[in-house]
Amino acid sequence: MRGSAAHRLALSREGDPEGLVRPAALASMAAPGPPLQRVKMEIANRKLQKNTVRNISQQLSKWPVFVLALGLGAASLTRADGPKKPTLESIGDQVMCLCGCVATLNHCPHRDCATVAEMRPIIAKEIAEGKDETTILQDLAIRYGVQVLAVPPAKGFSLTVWILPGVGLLGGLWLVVAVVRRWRKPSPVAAGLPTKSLDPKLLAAVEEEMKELSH
Amino acid sequence: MNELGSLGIVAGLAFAAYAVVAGALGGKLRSLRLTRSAERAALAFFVMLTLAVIALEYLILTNDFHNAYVAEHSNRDLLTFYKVAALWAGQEGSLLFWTWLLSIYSALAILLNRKKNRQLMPYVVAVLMGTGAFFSSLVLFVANPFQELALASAAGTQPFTPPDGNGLNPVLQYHSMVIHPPMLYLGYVGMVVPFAFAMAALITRQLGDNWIRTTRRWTMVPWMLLGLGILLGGNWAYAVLGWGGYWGWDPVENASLLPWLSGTAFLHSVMIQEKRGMLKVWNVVLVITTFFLSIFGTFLTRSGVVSSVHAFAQSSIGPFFAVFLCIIVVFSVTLLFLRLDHLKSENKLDSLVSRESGFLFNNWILLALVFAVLWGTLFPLISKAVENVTVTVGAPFFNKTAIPMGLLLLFLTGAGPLLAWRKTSFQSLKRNFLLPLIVAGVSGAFLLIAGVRHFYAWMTLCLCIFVAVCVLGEFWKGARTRMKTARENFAQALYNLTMRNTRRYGGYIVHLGIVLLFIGFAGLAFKTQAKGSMGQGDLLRAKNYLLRCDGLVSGDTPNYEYTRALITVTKDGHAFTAMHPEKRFYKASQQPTSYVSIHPTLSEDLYVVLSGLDQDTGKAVIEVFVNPLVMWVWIGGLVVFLGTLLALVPSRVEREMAEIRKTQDIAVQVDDLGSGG
Repeated sequence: MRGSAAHRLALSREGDPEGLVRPAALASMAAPGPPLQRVKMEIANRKLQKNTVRNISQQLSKWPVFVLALGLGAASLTRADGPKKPTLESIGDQVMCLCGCVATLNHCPHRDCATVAEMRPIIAKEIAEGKDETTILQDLAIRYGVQVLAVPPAKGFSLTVWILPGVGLLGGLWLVVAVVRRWRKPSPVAAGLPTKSLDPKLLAAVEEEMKELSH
Repeated sequence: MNELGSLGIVAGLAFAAYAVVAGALGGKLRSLRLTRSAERAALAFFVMLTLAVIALEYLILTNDFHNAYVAEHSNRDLLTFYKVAALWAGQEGSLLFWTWLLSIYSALAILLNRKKNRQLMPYVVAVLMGTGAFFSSLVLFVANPFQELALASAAGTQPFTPPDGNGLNPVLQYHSMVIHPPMLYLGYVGMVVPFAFAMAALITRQLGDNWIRTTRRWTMVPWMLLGLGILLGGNWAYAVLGWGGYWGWDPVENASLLPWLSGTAFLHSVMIQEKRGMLKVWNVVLVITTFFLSIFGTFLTRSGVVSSVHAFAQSSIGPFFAVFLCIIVVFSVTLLFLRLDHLKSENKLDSLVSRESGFLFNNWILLALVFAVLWGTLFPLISKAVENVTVTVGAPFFNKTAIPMGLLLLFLTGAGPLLAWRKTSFQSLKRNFLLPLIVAGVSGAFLLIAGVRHFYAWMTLCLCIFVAVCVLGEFWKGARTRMKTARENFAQALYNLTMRNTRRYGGYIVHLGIVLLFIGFAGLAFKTQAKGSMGQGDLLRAKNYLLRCDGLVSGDTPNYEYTRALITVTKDGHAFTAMHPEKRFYKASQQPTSYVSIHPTLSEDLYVVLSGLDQDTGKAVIEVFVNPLVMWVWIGGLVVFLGTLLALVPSRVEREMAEIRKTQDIAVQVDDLGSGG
């Protein structure tokens, strides 16, 4: 049976690891009987599959609630510490070293960097004064210019740097969903074409093999 | 030698230009003679470029400082190992190296297709040599490494030979830096071959399975090498730059990541075309995008349009690249539009829950990631052009945008292979996903109990477990089935299963490698560091390590002077190891650099840097990083590499099919001969 048309058809329907035939899929195709009876069986199978799809969507509709609850629970646990006080390291990750190295203050590859030596005491002083992260970053931007910030502020034209990746992501999702919807075959039952979606050549080959098997 | 090298480039350019014309005419006129002539010219291009590379290497190895490039990038006391690498240390040499690698790929593509893809080959040669002609023109006219040094005086210019060269940039004098650029370049350059096949298929309208089958392998090789190059670059940054990390979202790092991501998208979506005859236009778009991004990456690295820590070789070649990139886009997109009628999908999607949809979502995330990284990389330029404001887009932006997308991709790495082609039933979903979800959920709970409170790290580790169970489950199920049907023991079954379908199981191994990479990435969340000035006997604590300074020693080598800190480390009160971070001062280039001391283990790396000497006290300024799970990044990269190698090995089924096709071809030929006689 391996390598036969029925086998290939069964595989193409269910996609099987290591090329094993799924009994249900094969049984539906291997059903003996006249063509009309088989077409009826096919329609019944399609209805069954349609119901299965409905089942999936019903089952899946419960999953997001569960997953969301789990995710929120985990998120609340992992974020339990609340907003952290600024440190030299946390600010150093958000501020660029302006020595020309194109790295953040914490990552400047120049070990004796004069810029790092100048900026770190300023940050340390502001932390000691009890300023919050936003204020410290604002002060540094006033002192050194906006290019000192490792990310541009989310306002004006710079807002687009934050928005566009999200727009790209959502736009891409919309495109994929649109493509999937457009490319999806109409339901054979709804379309009144019970066997239209099957490859006619493959179906004919299956029928031939069925005939041979019945002899 | 300078003359010989220049002659090699001039002759190479001439052969490339001839091959473009002969190839295009050979294809148009269906002339086998012209096509063969174009192929021979492409092989001659390879020979001439090899001659030029040998000439430059000879000049470097013999310390011929009369050559400007050698004087700029080498010196007498440089180790031979690094002298060889000086070939790609500067602009001129690296462009010559790029062109030479292109000539190697072209020669291989021609030799391996002597009897295959005959209709495509004339145009493949024309596209390959078109690219070759562009790069050899750049080497010849804009960045020639065979320029001689001369002193201008009242009497005119006089030849000049300095006693020694300026030496190689100190940060490039590291072993992985010798392998990293060639790998990266092999990755970049190799993407020209799939592009050439795609263009040839579009020109000839031969848009069946043939070109896509050929292209897949020619994409996998550079994809694998590019990945290896990126990994080695990370390893170099980790060991040399001394900030305790391996990836900083630098523009040049991003430039190398972009074609790798789009290449990954292509290697997945190509399967839909092979299996279902779908996504034909999309696959051509991905091939074009990947090639474009490869050239764009070279452009970013070489032109200096964006500032980068990796910008070792910059010049005014930007406009030439910009023109070439425009030509690529106009040529390929026009051709694509003209052939849209030939790229119609043969099938439709059967279900939203199917392998095809999984690949579509995978492509969606990968391309969204490409867009986000590209946008962030170019935004400073765009902002300057639009608002005349200089802004910086650094690591925090990329981390915020790329990490969620990376996690979605990680999920698909496990979920995708479990979805069936065409349609997946709910029973199948339940059967395949239940165990991985339960194991991941239970592990997630344990991680929370164990104190993992960093959300992304926790999520990454949960997903890693989910994907690992999914992928290992595929091996387990397949092997179990073989054990029953073929009566093999588990090891035999696993081996035969893998070798029977190397592409599929090689792919699974790649996915496991990705899991290991992500485990390594998650470790970054738990990094700790300490810094202090240390004199003899002083102590510094970092996490559960206690470092004691036993003194400083200084020394001298022909190439550099050094100061080394002698540090003894105890862990939890027990003797652990001795570490010797160095500060080096390279004589030829007069530049200082740090030599980091790393003690790697599977659980964490102890990373010690001698930052400098305290001006007032003379004590060593020591920085210590405890970096958890970094080793898994290197192991994961290696697993990805090995998995890709396995996927490249023809499987037993493929070999059997090839034998059958060969037998059928012979039978047809015999029939033809019989009917002809």
